[in-house]
Amino acid sequence: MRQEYPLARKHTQRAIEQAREYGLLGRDILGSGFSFDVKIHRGAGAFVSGESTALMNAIEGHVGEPRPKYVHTSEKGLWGKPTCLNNVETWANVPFIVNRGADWFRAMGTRGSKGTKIFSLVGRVKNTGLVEVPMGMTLRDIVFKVGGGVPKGRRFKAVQTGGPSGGVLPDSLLDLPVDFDKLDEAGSMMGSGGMIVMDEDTCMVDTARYYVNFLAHESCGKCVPCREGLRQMLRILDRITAGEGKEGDVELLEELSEFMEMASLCALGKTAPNPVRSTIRYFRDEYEAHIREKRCPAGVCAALIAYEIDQEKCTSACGACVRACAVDAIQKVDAHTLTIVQEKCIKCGACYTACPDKFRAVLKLPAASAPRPTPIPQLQIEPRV
Amino acid sequence: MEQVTLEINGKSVQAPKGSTILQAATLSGIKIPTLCLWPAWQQYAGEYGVTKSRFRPAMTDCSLCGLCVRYCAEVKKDNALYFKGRGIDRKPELIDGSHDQCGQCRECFALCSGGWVVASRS
Repeated sequence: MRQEYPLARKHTQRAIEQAREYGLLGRDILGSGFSFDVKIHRGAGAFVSGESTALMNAIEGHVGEPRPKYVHTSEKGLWGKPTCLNNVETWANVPFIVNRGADWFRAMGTRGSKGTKIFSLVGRVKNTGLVEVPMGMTLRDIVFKVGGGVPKGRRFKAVQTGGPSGGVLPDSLLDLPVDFDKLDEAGSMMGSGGMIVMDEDTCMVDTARYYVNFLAHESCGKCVPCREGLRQMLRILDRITAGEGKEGDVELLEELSEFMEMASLCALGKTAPNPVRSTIRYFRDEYEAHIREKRCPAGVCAALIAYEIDQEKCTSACGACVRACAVDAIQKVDAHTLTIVQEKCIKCGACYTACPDKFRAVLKLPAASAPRPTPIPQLQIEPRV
Repeated sequence: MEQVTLEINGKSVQAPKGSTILQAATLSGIKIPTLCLWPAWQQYAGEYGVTKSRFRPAMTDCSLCGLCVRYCAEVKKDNALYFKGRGIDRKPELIDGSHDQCGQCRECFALCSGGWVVASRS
């Protein structure tokens, strides 16, 4: 159990203690002659330590790095002994199957994925939290019926599934029945069971960059395809989101993805290209807008946007934006006129959010159309006579 | 010495018992690319037609092959070196406080293909 989850550890520890008090754990359980115990091993906390062989290395006291898998864990696993290694959610299903029978469990779900699945539904969705649904429920039902849809009247854009090395699925796939096989086919995965709903204000290139950055730092760095592949992917994505993308970048990302999937040692490297591949597959036009037009269609990539004050809409110069600005980039020209000094602006968007709805005077524009340098009208100072 | 017979690339070859597949292949004149045993791997890349990189080269000569770390741990059993950090931050380092054990044998210097392992005055 990861060190960073103290509450989960406390709860599990208590459950183990209670089971021991009832005689359900330990030696000779309920006089049956059967002995069994549960022990919590605390991990120092690394994404890659969730990989099965890295997990075993960590429990053995070694660095949490994966090892080659030509020997099956069931034959030679932890401490070199046959090991049954499964996800906690898989174990949690076992008591129900034992008590209610396999037929009860198999009655739920799809051909290849039986039973139910717990998802962590978060992001731009009204009802966030853990949801348990039968396998095969459509993305649309999960996001709109269970999750209540996208708040603030924004348009649904995509749902990211499977954790950092999962993929994004666009609205055209909302009727996809969610199970292991269908998610894989669509270029994503079940993975951690995470579901992040994204609305129209999300940039897909920036999303890919975010996940690749995470994975580049969470890869163990042992095998070359994963470590160097992610390093190069991150550099390319950094460039594209900074408005320095060039023709051929998308093709190079695709080529790198294929190589990493083929040659990486463990599932982290093999699935790490998913965020890149799926965003290219479903949102290629956004990559092209960044590269060819130096434009971020969602208005997210800081280098490609600019904020400006619409003087006609800013009727009162209330100063809400001035107070919100952390870098003093908004200047008062006179009692009724405010202007954003582009050279100082860090494009955080605080002014855009702070401007009262009745004005909506802060405009978000493509960077190319912003006035540079900002002409600051000189105050006419009457010479004292 | 006892000889064993094995087949490499459809060719029947003989090698002393206990030798590695690489040694057996080399002995029979079969070339197997071995990056980590090759002292100048950039020259090797050229031999295979890789002359120009499409990627920005790293600012270091260290290819993170790990021979120095493994030699220190597995052969010398000194454990003076380790890999610090993970992912793209991974780099070989001296374990804190191991300066006393290290700097003596210098056997990892010759193993380093990039000539990156050098003695520092401190």
